[in-house]
Formats: sequence, structure tokens, C-alpha cells
Amino acid sequence: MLQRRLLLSHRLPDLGLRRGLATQQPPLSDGSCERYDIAIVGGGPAGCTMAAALGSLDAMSHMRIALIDSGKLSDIRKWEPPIDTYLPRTLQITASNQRFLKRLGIWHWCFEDRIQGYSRAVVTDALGKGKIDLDAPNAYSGDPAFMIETKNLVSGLLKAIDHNGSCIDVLERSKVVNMASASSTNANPAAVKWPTITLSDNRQLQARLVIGADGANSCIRKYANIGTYGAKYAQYGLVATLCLQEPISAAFQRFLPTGPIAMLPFPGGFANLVWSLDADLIQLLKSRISSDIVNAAFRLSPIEMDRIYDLLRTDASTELITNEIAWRLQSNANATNDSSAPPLVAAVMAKSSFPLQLRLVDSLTADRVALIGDAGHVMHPLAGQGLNMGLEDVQCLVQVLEGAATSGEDIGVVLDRYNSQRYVRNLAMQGIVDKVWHVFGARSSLVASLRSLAMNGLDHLPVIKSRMIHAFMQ
Amino acid sequence: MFRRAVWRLQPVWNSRYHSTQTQNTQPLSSISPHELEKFTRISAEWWDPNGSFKYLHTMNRPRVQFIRQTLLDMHKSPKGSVLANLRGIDVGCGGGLATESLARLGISMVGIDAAKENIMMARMHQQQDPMLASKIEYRNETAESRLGDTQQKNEFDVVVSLEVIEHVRDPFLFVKSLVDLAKPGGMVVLSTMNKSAVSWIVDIVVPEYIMQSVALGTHDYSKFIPPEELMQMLQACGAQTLDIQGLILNPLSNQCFLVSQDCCGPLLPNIGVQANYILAARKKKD
Repeated sequence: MLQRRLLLSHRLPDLGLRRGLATQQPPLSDGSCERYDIAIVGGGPAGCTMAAALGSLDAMSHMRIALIDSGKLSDIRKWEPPIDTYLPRTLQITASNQRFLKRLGIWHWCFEDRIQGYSRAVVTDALGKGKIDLDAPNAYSGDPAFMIETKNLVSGLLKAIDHNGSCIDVLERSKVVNMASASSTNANPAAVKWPTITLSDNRQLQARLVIGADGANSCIRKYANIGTYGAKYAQYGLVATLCLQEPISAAFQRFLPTGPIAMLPFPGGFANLVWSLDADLIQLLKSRISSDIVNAAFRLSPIEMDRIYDLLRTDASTELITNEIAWRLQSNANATNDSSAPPLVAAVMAKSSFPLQLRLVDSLTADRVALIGDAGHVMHPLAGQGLNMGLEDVQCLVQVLEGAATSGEDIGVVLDRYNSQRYVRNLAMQGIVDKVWHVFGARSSLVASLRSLAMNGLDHLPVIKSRMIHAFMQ
Repeated sequence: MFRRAVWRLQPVWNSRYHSTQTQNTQPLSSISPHELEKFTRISAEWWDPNGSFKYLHTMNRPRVQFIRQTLLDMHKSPKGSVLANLRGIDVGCGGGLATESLARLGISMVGIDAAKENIMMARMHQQQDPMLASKIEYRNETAESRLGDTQQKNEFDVVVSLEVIEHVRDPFLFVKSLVDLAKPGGMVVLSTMNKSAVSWIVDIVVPEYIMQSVALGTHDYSKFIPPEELMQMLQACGAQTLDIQGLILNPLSNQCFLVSQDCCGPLLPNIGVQANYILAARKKKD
């Protein structure tokens, strides 16, 4: 009798509650709608770090987590690094983020012999001859920053997920084609108000929390109706792998009026080039870039560089350009012996390019949706801070979710804590980097001399310099 | 500091918590649409983390964290997965705030409350989280009627009763029922308010008279219980107290945290538990 009453109590009335549930089910023939606690959309560095971090937590071990990506993640997991070169798409990771990855037991899954730590950064201004040499003193144990190939990191993350993320389902080659946000789906107050994701193979899944880690053109952000504002810089980033005449363990950056050029160290005499260029120049340089042009860009004056660009525009032969640069470098002996210039480049290998933009979001969260990484903030790569902000997003969100999980809260409704901690910091960082770009993009001689004065001034103030390094290392 | 009060046995049945009920569950289907709408509204209000019950939500977090940590310590495992094998009961579950949280930790929960409205509300809210469907069973009954009905003692690994004992007529009998529900070696968790000047100000004067966030007469100072009195009651019922911690609410930042009993050092003993506190005890193995 008792049992019968019990059963009755769980059967729900006609006007009632279960129907609300039922309408949430997909109107599909197969009718399957899988439920997850967390659905992470995007298997890039930010999304994979999120998944690996959640997979390593005891508090999350009873949760179901999906990692969704349209690419073939299993291929990236099995990635075998090429022995004679480095990939051009790289990431700079600060020491605090590296410690985070180490703590999670992720770092050792990457090929550590392909990671270069560095403690010195030389920044110069081509127009005003300003220079600042940031050298982390030995007092700091370890390097303040690390260079790693994007694929090396993601591959390591996927291995870590495979190894200790038993609660994570990796759904690869699945594109999100729709997301019905939580509030729009049903007015019934007793109904499940979780966002429903539809995948390209018509599968549907419902999650308590959807984490959008799907990059600058995030579709999760779009479906969640989170507005963005911002501008394209009308610039492109040109990245390439450089083979140097001698190995380096420092980063070099030079602000040219056309955009900053940076050389970042990799082991074994390799380096990574990140060069921001206007749209017309990127077309010229992408096909014609050579070791001579990179050497010139780090040494010649902006006026001389304009001359090289003119030659490129008139479709001059490679030989002519090589001779032109060789002549200019020779006649400018100072430039070649300049200690702030990086070693000479012997060869330019694998290259690629992408548009640069600044994109700000109205909020990092919506109802049961959180954005991390580039989905929540796109900025100029000149400071190499893009992924570092993304990893800080991950650290913050993981902390919020772990706190909520250990106190038994619904992790989909605690996102305000994440937004309030990250939103303003992200805006500030984006603002600073944008200002730096505008200040160094100015061709006016007044601005140029002021910024060089400031840089040279800073270079002679060790206290402020060490503070900058410290702030950078956190 | 603490009054060395000696509790007296009061074998009087409390009308609210000790009424014998024959009908312990009522199917939702017997409700009129009008009532359903009403409960939906109340439930939404109860469950709004920024609504009038906001501090209830705030205080729920450290309480559940305390229960989780004490259970993990007791089972000598840092892994949250041990909780999935446990059965728990929340006596006086109200709208199911703590019941849902404990179920999300993995514990299979039974939530009971003497008020039918609360059970309605709790069931209503449970529907919003499909993963809770198999984890919680709400029933309109009391601890005593459950013990009487099922003829089954020693059912649960963890027995929880938060902010209930200060409303019952006979605290000793209530504590005894809770201990009876627990398995030998199981855990009993109670939270309530100390009988002190601090608790009078913090739990009655401020919320009921100054901020008026709590209805007048919600709490009766005479029913507040000092921790050592509660410890003695538990001891008499066969449960050994494991840990007591104070709960401090900061209404401005809307944050609540746990403090140890002697958080201000040995010179000011028991300063942490002057107002709200939470206590965990372990039922002795026979």
C-alpha cells in the first residue's frame, strides 16, 4: 500500500509538470536529447584547458561534461611534431598560467623540449629610437614567459583529458548549428530551463551550463544574444617560423609605423615571427617574405622600409630586393651592430596570416551561458596576452564552479560571480593593449619623440622596470 | 560565555512536528489549477537567490560545504565520489534548498516536511533540474511518523535538520528521532542558534525589527539552544559530537562563512558560535 502511494506521488497531473519537461525534448524522430552538466563548445586552447581542469577536480568527478568541437580532435591528440621545424601558430604563456597548467598536471603532457622559456624582452621604437630592455633578474626563479606551439599545447591538453577526465565526453566533428537559450524555450515555470544545443548530425543535447570557448566569431555568443562592439584594426597578423643564424632566448619587438613586428624564441635556433601589417602590405609580404625582409624590418628606418615596400609593389625581382637590403644594411653599420636587434634570420619557413580585431562583449555571461577565451575578448596580439587572459578566465571560472559544486549549488546559476571578477579586468587589459597600439601607430613626430622619451626614461629606472616585470609575472 | 543550562525533558508532542499523520504523501494530481499556480509563484519566490529568502540561499552554501567536508573526513576520503553511495534525509526540508544541494553532491536524499505546502514547493522546483529526479524523494511527513510508519530505524547514512530544532516543541524528542533515523556510525547534522545576547541581536532584533527581512515572531528566543546543551542531548541519545562551527553572515556583501568555535583564540572561547552554528555528530556503533 505504501509503495503504491509512493508511486502515485510521482505520477504527475495532466495540467502539470512533466509535460513541461516533455516539450523540452527534441521534436526528432530518434527523440534523443542527452543531458550534461556542462557542455564546452570549442576545442581550442581555452576550451581544452577548461575541460582538462574540470576533469582533474574531485568536486566535479560525478558530473557529465561534453567537449564539442567541429574538428577532428583525435588527430590533434595524436600529433607528432615535425623534427626540423616549428609550426607558425604559437602562444605565449605567462609564468602564472604555466604554474596553473603544471598544477593541473597538464604541462608534462606537452612536448616540453619544444617549449622555450624566456626572461628578457627587448622592445624598440623604429620612429623615435626609443628602447626598453626588460630583463627579469635572477631573483625570480624560473622564466616569466614561455613560448609554445598552439598544437603542442592543445595536443597535451587532449592527452590530459584522455588520461584523467573520465567524466568528459569528447564530441569531435560536431558543429553546433543551433542553441535555444534557456529562457526562450518555455514559459512554464516548472519546466527545465536549460539551453538546448543542436549539433550538425541532428543530435541534441541539453546542459545545465554551456561554456562558449569557440573563438572570436563565437556562435554560442551569438545564440545567447550577447552583444559585441569593436573594430577591426584594418590590419592582419603575419606569422611565420624563422630559422636564425644563432639561437636566442629573448623576445624582440619593434614598433614600426605600419605595425609591430616581434620575434619570439623557440629552442634550437628557431623563432616565431608575429608581424602586424596593413591589408595591402600583407598581400605583398605573405608571398614575398624572406629572411632579408625580416632582417630589414628589425634594423632599417621606417623611411627605408617604405622604399622596400615600394619595390615590392612594383613587383621587383627577389634579387633586386636582396641587393637593396644588403646595401642599406651595410651603409648603416650602426643598425647591424645594434645590440637591441635580434640575430640575423637565415630562412623563413611555414607562414600564415589572419585579420586582427578588437572585440568587446557586453557581458561574459548570459542565462546558463559563460564565455571564455577569445569568445569573450579579442585583442591585438602585440602583447601576446590573448590566451593568457583566456587562461585567467578558465582559472576564475573553474574556481567559481568548484566552489558551487562543493556546496551543491546548481552550477548554471552562479555565473555572476565569474562575470563580476573577470569582465572589468578583461576590458582594462583590452583597453591598455589598444592604447599601446594607437600610441605606437601614430606617425606624428611629436608622439614619436614623446613615446621614445618615455621608453628611454623607463629603461633607466630599474625600480619601475622590475615592477613591470613583476606585474607581468604576477 | 555559555550558560551551563541543564535541559529538561519535555515530553509534550509538538503539534507541528510531532503530529501523527496517516496520509504521508499526497499526489500532486489532486491539486486544482488555481492552487498549482499559487504554489508555482511561492516556489519561484522561495527559490529566487535575490528575493526575500536571499539569506537562506547565502547561508545554505557554507552549511552544505560543512556537511560535505565532515562526511569526507568521516569516510577518510578526499574524493567526492564516496558520497554517491550514501543515503540521506533532510528533516524539515522546507522548499528543498539543502535537499537539492545535498542531492547534487551525489547523496540519495529523502526530504520530509510536516507542511504540505513546502513539499509541494520542493517537488515543483525539483522538476526544473532533471538530474535530481532520481536523487530526491519528497514526502509530507515528520521524523516521528516516518519512524512509526516504516517501523524502520537506522535507515540513513546522514540525517540533516537545518534551522528546525528552534521551532519544535520538544527538542529532546526531536533529537532522539534524528539519531534513530541514522544508521549506527551514521552522521547527524543540526544547525540552529545559540542562546546568547549576540544571537538575540543578530537573529531577532536585526532581521525582524530593524531590517524587517524576516516576519515578526519567526524566532522565539526562549527556544534557542546553546551548543553544549545540544551536545548533551545528542550524547544522551547515543551520538558523539564531531565538530561545531559558527556561521557568520555579512548582509552587506551577502556572503556567509564558517568560523571555528574558538576563532578568536583560547582567551575568548566559543566566540565563533555565539549566534548561528552548525553541529555534526556521529551515532555510536552498537
